[in-house]
Amino acid sequence: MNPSSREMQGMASSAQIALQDLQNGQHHHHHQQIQNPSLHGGHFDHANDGAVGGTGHDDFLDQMLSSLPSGWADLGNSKSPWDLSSGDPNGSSVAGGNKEVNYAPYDESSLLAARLRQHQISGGSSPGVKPLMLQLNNLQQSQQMLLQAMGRSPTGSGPGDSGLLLPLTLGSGGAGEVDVPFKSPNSTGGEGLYNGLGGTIQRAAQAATQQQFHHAQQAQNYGGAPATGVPPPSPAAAASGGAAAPPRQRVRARRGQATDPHSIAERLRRERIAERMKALQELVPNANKTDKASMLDEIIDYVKFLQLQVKVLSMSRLGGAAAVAPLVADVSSEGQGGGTARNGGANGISAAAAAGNDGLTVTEQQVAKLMEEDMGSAMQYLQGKGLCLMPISLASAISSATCHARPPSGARHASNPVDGTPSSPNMSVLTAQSAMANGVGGGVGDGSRTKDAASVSKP
Amino acid sequence: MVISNLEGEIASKEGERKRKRKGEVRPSQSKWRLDSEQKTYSSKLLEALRCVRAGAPAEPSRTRAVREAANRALAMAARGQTRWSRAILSSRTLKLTAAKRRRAAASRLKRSGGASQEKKRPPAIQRKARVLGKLVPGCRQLSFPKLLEETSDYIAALEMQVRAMSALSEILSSIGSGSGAPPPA
Repeated sequence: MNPSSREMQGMASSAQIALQDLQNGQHHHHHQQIQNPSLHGGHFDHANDGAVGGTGHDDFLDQMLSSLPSGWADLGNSKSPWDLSSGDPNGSSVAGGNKEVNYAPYDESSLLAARLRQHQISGGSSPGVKPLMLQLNNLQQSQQMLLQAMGRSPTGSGPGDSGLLLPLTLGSGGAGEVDVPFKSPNSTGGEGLYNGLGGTIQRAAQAATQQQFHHAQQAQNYGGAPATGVPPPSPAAAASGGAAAPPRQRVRARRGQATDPHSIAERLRRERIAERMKALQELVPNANKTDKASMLDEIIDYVKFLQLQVKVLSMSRLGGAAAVAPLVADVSSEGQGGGTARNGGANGISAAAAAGNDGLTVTEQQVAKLMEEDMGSAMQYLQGKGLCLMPISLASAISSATCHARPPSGARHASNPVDGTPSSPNMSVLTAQSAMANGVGGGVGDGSRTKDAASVSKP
Repeated sequence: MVISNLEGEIASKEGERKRKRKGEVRPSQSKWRLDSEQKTYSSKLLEALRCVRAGAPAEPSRTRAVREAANRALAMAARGQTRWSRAILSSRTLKLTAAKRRRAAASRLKRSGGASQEKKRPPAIQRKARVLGKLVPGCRQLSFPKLLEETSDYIAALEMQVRAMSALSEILSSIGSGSGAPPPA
């Protein structure tokens, strides 16, 4: 069966190419087209990725081969449906003429080739559908008649006649539905197809609907055709179609992995977790940890830090340390990530120490006094004011960096001395000097300050 | 149309599901980085702050009120799509915070009693997941992948909150100091 389906698939692409030739409009190209598929039959295997009804096509082929010879006799008799569907007296006469003309050169091979071509035209791959539609819309009437004539189906679904009905009625069980597109070859026609397909196996239904969709496009030129024949043939055709096309919906697990549902679910869950961890890694700074546990530690610390920042900001928002804002805003409003925001937060808080000129010295002295007694109380005092301690080197580095970023704020030197480069080192120095003056050694002060900075960053 | 949709569905159901899931995770980060989102949040925060200013002049309670107002405004900005935002909005009453403190004290007593036992029993990752669940509001009894998703959105939202609050305080301070500094972008 496979070779034949491949051949048919090849036929589809060749049929498309042939149809393009058809589009140019000479109906005597029929013969060329009929011969071409046989020439190029085996070459085009790639075109049909949407070979939905592949196995179904095989069945179609068999039935076509078996039933077609007998069907030719009926073609001459059942002319009335054509009159109804085409609504064009010229078309019917042409069809009759063409019928006779085209029967002659058909031996078995060409007949088969032609039928395959039509079948592929009807049940072609999905990428081929759209160009197929366009081409079919431009088909000349004689060519359409030819297709109709060749496709006259003997299975008795009389009203469903078009050249492409043959394969449909034989195998897909959707022959009845072909009439629906005749009525209105647009989405409503498609819905009608679906209604007709209600009871069929989905695969057969898909094949049928695909083919019918093709037919819909072709049938546009026939004009409106009554869809009276749709309901009666469809149940019978549907049953036959259902038997013909085996269901092929199976969950395909990846190669080399267990198809056990538990392991699949476990794999999905692990993939989801890995996905989310990757997203988190992008958010959190210092995310170069490969271990999940350390990554989680980083995440936890970062969340705690952000929440602390919000708390501090809410404290600084009220009356007192309004000058905390400038430096914090400098760093944060630059739109940088949490890393700089972290430093900015700490820096801004330390900048608050430099904010109120008058209050600064008092604060410093107070802090120094507290530091003598107990670092904890000193820290609490500072935190009550929304401040913290940080190493002088870090403060100077950050303030120099932010000074470059905010030159225009130099005008506010008086009220926000932290913006200027010389000021914050001075402040830090002042803090150190006052601390030293109060009896705390410079080195000790720095050391304790470093320690305090460390303790502040990890509450 | 209908037929082509059916084909597309059957062909790429798995891909769509994956795309849908990814789509949920991705926009959370880009959403909180938008300037428009920040401006919206800032204006809402300003309104809330005005109310707070009028309401609770005492220092410590005012701080907490400001923080609560900021968190609530942030949760509003999330438009109810995330768990933590819904938890923030639905749990903000004084009674509840007092109950939380009592519960926290009780659990701390219990934990100190059991700290002598081996800590390896719950795997480290699970322990950390519990800690994270406590940090993010409303995410205590959440599955791990869901928790990670909520956390990423929460972190992005917190970052935006910090940016907005600091920008706001700079504006306020500049107004307060009376100098003509240019407002931040």
